[in-house]
Amino acid sequence: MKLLELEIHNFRGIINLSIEPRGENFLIYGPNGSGKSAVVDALDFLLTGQISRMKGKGTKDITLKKHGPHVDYSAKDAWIKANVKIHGLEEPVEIKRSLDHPNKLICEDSIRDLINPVIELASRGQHVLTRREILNYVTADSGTRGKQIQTLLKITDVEKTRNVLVKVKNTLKNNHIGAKSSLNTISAVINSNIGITNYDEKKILDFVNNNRNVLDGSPLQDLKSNSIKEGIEAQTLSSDITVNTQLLKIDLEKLHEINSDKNKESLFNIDLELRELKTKISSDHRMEDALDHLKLTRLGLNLLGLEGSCPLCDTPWETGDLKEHLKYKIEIFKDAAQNLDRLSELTDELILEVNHTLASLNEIIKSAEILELKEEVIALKSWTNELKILLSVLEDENYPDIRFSEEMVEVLLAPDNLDFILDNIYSVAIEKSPEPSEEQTAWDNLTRLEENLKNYERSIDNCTKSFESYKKSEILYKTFLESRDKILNKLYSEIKDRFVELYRELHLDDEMEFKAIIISESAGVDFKVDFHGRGVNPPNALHSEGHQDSMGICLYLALAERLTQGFIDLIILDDVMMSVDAPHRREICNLLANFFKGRQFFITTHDQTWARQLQSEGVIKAKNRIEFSNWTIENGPSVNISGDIWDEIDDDLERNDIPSAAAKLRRGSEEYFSQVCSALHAPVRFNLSGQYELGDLLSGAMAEYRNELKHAKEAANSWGNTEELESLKEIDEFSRNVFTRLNMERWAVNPALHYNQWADFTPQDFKPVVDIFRDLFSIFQCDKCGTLLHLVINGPRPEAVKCNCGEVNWNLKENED
Amino acid sequence: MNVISKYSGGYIIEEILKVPKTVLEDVWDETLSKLEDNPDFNIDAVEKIESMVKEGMINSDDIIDLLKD
Repeated sequence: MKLLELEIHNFRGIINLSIEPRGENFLIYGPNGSGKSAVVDALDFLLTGQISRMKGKGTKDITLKKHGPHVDYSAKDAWIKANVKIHGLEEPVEIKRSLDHPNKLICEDSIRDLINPVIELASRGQHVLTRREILNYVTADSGTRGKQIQTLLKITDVEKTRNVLVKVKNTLKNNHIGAKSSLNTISAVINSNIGITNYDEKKILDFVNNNRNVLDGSPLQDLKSNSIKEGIEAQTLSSDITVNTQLLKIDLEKLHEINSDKNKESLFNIDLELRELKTKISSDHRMEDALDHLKLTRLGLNLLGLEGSCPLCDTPWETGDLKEHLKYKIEIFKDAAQNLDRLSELTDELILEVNHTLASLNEIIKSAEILELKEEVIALKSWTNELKILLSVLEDENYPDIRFSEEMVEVLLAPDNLDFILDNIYSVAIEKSPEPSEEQTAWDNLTRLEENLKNYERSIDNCTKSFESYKKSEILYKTFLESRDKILNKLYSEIKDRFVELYRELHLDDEMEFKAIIISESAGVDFKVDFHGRGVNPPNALHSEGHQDSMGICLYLALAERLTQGFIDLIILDDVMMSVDAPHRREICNLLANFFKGRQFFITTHDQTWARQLQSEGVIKAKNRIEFSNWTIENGPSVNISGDIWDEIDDDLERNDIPSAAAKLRRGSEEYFSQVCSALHAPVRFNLSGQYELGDLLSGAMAEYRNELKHAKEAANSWGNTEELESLKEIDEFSRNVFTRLNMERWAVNPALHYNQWADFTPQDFKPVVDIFRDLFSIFQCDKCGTLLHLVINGPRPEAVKCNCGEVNWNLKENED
Repeated sequence: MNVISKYSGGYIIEEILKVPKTVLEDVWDETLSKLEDNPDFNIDAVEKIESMVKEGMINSDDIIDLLKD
């Protein structure tokens, strides 16, 4: 697709603007704030229904409908219309989009199927390069450069998806860790019920079979919750308000133990050591920092993916290097590690005690509820809640907590009247419940175990499932990364050669042997470039900002060319030229003019030199350059359409408007001969203000031209190249003729151009002046490609005078033999 | 190249040039094709991810739910 005409109405800072690029390269030049980017936004909106600049970071309160139209107009009055040329269709087609229906592209129905693929591709934004993207790329540090390259290449959605998969993986990993923790808790409860230290299926099965034996049940071979009461007769208590006093007594004794001196001393010691250790750590900032680092390092080592990137900041590392680095860091934190491990042991001991107490409390509360002991139930439930809070504090590593004093913790937060409550429950229990038979106790033991085993089996199932999901997420993530690397490396490999070709073309003078490596790695791209044959390094390591700038542009151009081929020929460069120096800018012009045949560049810039170069180097025709200035809120930018000055001057003469013709000729000549003097390195009387008189520019340009022509003739003569010599003589004769005419007509030229005395001129008087300048202009440019003749300097002396296409090529080096 | 014929009322587009896939779409195609051969992923799960990708609705919660199934 190429842009033929564009019309913008009440959009952003523009009231009305019509331009006609005619499918050719087009330039908008103007100072910052003159409305250039509004045109780029308009194109963006027309093709995608969105304005990229109004999306993303820092645009929370900016909306398309509210901020897209000109500030004095509503969305229904704001629209963009264009005539475009689509591949395979001879006639141009009209497309239009209005801000009140941003998602609706208005076009002829019969071409909708044809335009839709173009619009779909445009929505990827790969045809637009902005200054912000180049700036982000150039200023990126080594840690973020990979991401900035992806931004530059418009493939950040791959990285966003990777982040989603990282989140999935981490969430499922945490779920699995949580499931393992639940399993440990329920194991602790079963161990407490059975009276064993570690979960042991054989011992639990022995416990089951002993109780089954009491009930005349056959021994079981496997431990399963749904079979431990299989084949035995159910025992029922005498009434609904009785409990098994024997089991209750065991649970009560466990809680009574809390108040025992032995238990208090043990808990006191654990708690004291834990508190002292915490105090020691928190009073030593270095230790505290070391512990934080250690935790993070251990976690990092644990989360380290196969690709070796940092799981925290995604910085890419050589495979295996980060793992070794983390292990080394853990080694340095030896002291911290001892403290951390001891802290963990002490915390785990307290957690175990709390879990055991909660297990007994749970059973006692059930009995108290059956016995309808309301006050006791309230007191014990309150204690349970307190213990659960303590448990979460311990598990979240927030212990100690001001809510829990040493005195409270040494009795595990037990209420002061614990013994009284427990004694009361037991008294009522034995009063209401008969002494249970051995069979009843065996049955109740199995019932209690059955419930806990069910929980255990559920936890095992959760643990297995959570592990399976976590494993799948790891596989999904790993597969995505492998696929990403394969696809991106193929793409990078395709664009790398083109990138190197373009960059070498830009830096022929200093980096002919330039090489590059572009490989997908970790969260970004491993992008390294050769520096004068001294090895490959990151682009910001040794290259100047200007070189990095041109790298960014070459990288983007290579990718845009590859990804938009066959659909969008339009490439938008929005104010992308910054720190590239003048000679290399000329080479960029050369690239745009000669390496992207069939493409249409739509360029905006605030840089006058770059704007001139684009024109003088043949990237932009004079008629395809417009200048924005004096933006006002009511009128938008003032637009000066440069066009072809000769046509415009002829029009003025036809209308007998000599003042306008003279102004155009003067302004056009000043600009043209500024470029000529720059291209020929012509000597011009220096002026600190940078404002040069046309006379100074003309004298410098003509003198340098004559000088180089003279050298070219001498060189041709020295080589015995008579054909070249004859051709140069013809050129010399023509130029002398023009220069002579210019001197002869100077009486008319000077007053007309310099002193504004055109009031006395008729079109017949002024026409010869215009003709002389037309001929004069033609001397300094190539008839074939239209670019200015420029001096090629290699070493101390100029080597040649050339145009861009090579049609003009005056050798200046004489035969020294 | 598109094949287009013109008639008095407009154009008949006989064959449309397909828009090339995005880099992300290519990455997902490759990922899904590898997952199809992975015994840990059944075809149903792969198809569900494929459907999310096609709808452009890749979010962590949906994938977590899917992997938990």
